[in-house]
Amino acid sequence: MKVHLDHTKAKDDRRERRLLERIADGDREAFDELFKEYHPRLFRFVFRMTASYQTSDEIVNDILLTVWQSARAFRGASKVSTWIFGIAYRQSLSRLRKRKNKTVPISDDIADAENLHQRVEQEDWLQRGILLLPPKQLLTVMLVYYLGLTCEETAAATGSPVNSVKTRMFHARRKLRVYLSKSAGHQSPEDGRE
Amino acid sequence: MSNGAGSKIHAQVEMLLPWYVNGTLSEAGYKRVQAHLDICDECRDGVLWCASMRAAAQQEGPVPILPATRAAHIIDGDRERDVRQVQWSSWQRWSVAAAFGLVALFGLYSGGPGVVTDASNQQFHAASTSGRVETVDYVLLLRFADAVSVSDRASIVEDLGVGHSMLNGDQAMIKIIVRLPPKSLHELEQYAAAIQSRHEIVSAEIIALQLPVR
Ligand SMILES: [Zn+2]
Repeated sequence: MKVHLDHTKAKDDRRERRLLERIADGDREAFDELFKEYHPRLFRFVFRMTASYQTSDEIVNDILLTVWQSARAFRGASKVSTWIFGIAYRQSLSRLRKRKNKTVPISDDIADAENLHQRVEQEDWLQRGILLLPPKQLLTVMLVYYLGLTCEETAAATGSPVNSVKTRMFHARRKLRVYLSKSAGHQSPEDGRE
Repeated sequence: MSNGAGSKIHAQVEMLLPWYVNGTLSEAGYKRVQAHLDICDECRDGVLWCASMRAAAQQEGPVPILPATRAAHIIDGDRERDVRQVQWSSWQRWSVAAAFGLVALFGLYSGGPGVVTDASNQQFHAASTSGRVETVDYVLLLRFADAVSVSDRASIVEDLGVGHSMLNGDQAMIKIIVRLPPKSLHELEQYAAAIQSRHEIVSAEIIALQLPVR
């Protein structure tokens, strides 16, 4: 099954590489094709994090404009999708950093496990907690869990070493545990370290 | 995990759990994690956490109706699309609970003036007529002619009938929410056409506000 999936992904990437080559030559039809494929995915990805229609629209337009303008800069070291998600990561990061931080920092102590599992069942809490993570962690979590990137793809998209990505994911998890262990509504996993 | 080698493996596996859960580990990596999970409570707990995080990250609320952007809009830097002209700031609360979609007036219907044929609008049309939602909220944006006084604007809004509640408005633009069953899109068309025919109104736009899809 995995072999079959890998094969399909490789085929998609070959097709997207050809599209990107044409886009680099200014082929509008090729861009239109890539646009149709990525616009819905990118929009949902960004919308999940910003919860703002207009902001998402702006960010996604900026991402796709960058793809159009920078196609020539694609060196082929990663998959096309990873390259595009990398642009999405950087554009979203700069926007998310501007969002207002109205939350209270919390410490990283680990709370009692039984209580935590009850909270985990409340997925809404967890979802809210994820959205309150510092921008880098939030984006990395979404790349891994929402878009399903591999560890290496996540590293390439975020421009970080593999070990940093692993650590970031670990910190995000720990932060959410703490968040869920604290009282409802008044605290967040945001501590501004990233 | 008391011995040195064991705790080293634990530290490595612990860091791999997100990708174990998202199913992208290599076969060797997967087997390695699996073998460690058999003997480590802490990592089994970590798997539960990662799985919960993944479920929460993937938990789709309302599916946003895509903006009617086209590739050409982006290439040509055409940023003056309808969505940019709308004052959204007062709508933040909706954006969490529901997703917005912008549909140019009559764009929902084939043959009308200003038809928008993007796949996104077809997608909206499919979602709203498939019965997956019980009602669809529309927001009607009315732009009045300058000569129409504020009090006249209010009375015009009142004339529009029951079942429509005015949300807010300013000098130029008034927003009204209209709730209709998804299969009554033709009613909306008639309703909008009637409004459009009034000379006091310069433009009427409909924003579809799709309720959560079950
Ligand atoms: Zn372990």
